[in-house]
Amino acid sequence: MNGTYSILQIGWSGMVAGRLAGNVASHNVANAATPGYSRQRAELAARWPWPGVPGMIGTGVEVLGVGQLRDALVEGRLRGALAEQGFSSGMSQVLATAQTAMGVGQDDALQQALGEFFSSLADLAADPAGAAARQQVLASAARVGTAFSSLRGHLQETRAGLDTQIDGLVNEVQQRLDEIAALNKEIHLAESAGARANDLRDRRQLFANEVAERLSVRAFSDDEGNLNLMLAAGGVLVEGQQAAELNTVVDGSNDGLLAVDLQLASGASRRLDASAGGLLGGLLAARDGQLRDAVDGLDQLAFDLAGQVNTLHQAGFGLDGVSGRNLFAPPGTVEGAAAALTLDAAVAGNPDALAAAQDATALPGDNRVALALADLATTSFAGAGTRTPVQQVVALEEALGSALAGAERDVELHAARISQLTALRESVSGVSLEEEMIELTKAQRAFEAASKVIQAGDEMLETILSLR
Amino acid sequence: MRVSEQQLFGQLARAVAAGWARLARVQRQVATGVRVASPADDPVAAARVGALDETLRRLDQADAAARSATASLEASEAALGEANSLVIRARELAVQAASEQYSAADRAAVADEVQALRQQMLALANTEVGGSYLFAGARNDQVAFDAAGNYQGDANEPELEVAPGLRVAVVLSGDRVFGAAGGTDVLATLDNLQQALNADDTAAIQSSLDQLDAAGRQLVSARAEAGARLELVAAAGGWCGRLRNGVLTDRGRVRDTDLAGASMQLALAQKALEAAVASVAKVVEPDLLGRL
Repeated sequence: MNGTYSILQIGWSGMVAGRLAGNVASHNVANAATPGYSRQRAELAARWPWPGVPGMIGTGVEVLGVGQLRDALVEGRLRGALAEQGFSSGMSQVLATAQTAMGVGQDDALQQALGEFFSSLADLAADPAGAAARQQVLASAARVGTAFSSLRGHLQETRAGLDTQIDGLVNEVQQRLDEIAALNKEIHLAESAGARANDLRDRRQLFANEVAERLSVRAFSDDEGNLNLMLAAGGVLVEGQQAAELNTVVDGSNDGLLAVDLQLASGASRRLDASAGGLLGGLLAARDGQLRDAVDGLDQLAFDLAGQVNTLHQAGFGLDGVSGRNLFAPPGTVEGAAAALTLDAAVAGNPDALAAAQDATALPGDNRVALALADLATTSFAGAGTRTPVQQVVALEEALGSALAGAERDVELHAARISQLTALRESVSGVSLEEEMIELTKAQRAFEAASKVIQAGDEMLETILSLR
Repeated sequence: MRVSEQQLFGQLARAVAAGWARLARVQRQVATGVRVASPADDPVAAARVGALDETLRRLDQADAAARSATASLEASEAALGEANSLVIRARELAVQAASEQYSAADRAAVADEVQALRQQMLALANTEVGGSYLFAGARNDQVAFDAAGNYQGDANEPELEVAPGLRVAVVLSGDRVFGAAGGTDVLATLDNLQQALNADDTAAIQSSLDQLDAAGRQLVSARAEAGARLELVAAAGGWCGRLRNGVLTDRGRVRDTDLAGASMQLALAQKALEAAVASVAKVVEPDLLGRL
């Protein structure tokens, strides 16, 4: 068909294309602020020409479909950066809470309490028979115990306080995994009819990114249009229309804190740890890494301190001439020693039982045991014989501090990477309002021009019809 | 590069947030005067501050011990000086009483005076400071010498750590100062003189002069020993004071804010934030939307 009517057809195709391009531009404008939205373009092509005389003549414009502008490589790298960012911010969040608990620079800090304890022993050496000096030693020894147990308590509270957050995170991840599986199904249905489900794909991508913030994942697209998610550390999260299950369980071997299990297809389950990455991995890493080390370090220090003090104290004599008493109640095990460091019943409330003397016949002026006890401040018995007790406390604080500083640096570093990658992604997929306005104007003008074509064709037909 | 709406506004928001964060950090350093408020600010510096704080505590502890040692040694020195002048007085009396012009009655009167000196000497040997007897060794809750002049204390001379690593004995055992352990029993010497005077025995009075000389030497040398220890404590105190100043300076350098530098940083952070906020207004302006 190559007659005058075809002008009307061509004009009509132009109007359809113009309207569609206008629709797509308006959709882009409407979604300029939608997170995860990728801009769309009407894909137009010249319609197949008719062979004729004197040559091939086109038959108008054809709308091939509506495509998305996105860069899969950048999106993959962005997911990776989101996971690393999640990991470091999880670590820094936990460690910052723990550092506040350490009470650095505050009166109840452990270093302060230990210092006062050793100073009070030196004061006892200066006045071994003095009732005030003896009371002071008992009081400051009790404060050392309180400082140990309150610090350990704060650290354990910080660890236990994460349970709620971990539980919430697992629920959030589970919801998104279920959504992705459901979207896989919808996209499969929608696209089997031939169209591309652009907006559904955007939402699925957004969910995948939100999972990546919480767990380090890899995403694969398959031939059927499914997005499959794997845990980077191993284990399937979403396969086709099937989402894996994540469960929280109480872990008796880890102070009864929550653990996260990934149910595998084989029926077995896989326990997630720091290697899971993302925010969840970061929380687990700090909770079961640095914080657990700090708690263990405190326990060991309390155990060693009680042992050293008691050994010296047992050899000494109280004002009553009795020896063989402990100053601290001896902790049974290293585990939990910092939580239960208290005065021994033999000396509690009985200042005269404090042993300052080395020789029962040299009472009450003999101060050699008090001097030896005060000297423990400079004895390297902590940290496997490498540090004095105060040095060990400082080392524990430094370990937490440098882990926190490192995590905070990483947060900044990854934030910069994410902002670069987001910029890259947005430069491809983001909506520019100016650009869309130009597209819209272009579409409007094309629509107008096409309608002029129909008018012109109509006038030509009228000319023909009015021939007599 | 294409610049899209979300990219532009995201970038502006991040720039303003980063500006605020930086300003807040520098402001805190200036306001508190402390650069390292928590280990995360600078882990190495924080550990150094912890170590320096411990050194300061040990210096304070040594200072308290040094004050206690000084009090004890000064009291000992004073008592020994006084004891020595009693011996000198006794020797004068002995020399006079040995003279031919003294009658038996005169000598008996002198004996009474020596008796009084002996009582004063016993009181000095039993000097009590803050409930403990200075010359009783470690057994300082009871008198050093009983009325008969027998030593009740022991030979221990308790020490105190007056500077990190430096221990000084703060007690002079009475047995070696006033008693037989030092070579001459001072109280017994006075007793002997008194007996010789009462017995009107000039030969015995003459021979007690030598004993009094030995007692004087013993007291003077003990006094010198107390003086030497006092000097040692004072020297250690001076050394600790200088060390303390050094540690304080060092801690300040490590922990505290360099105010001049931080003020510059603050001005800079303020400018940067203002620029970021101003750029938001500038960037949002050229908008095609308004012109269509």
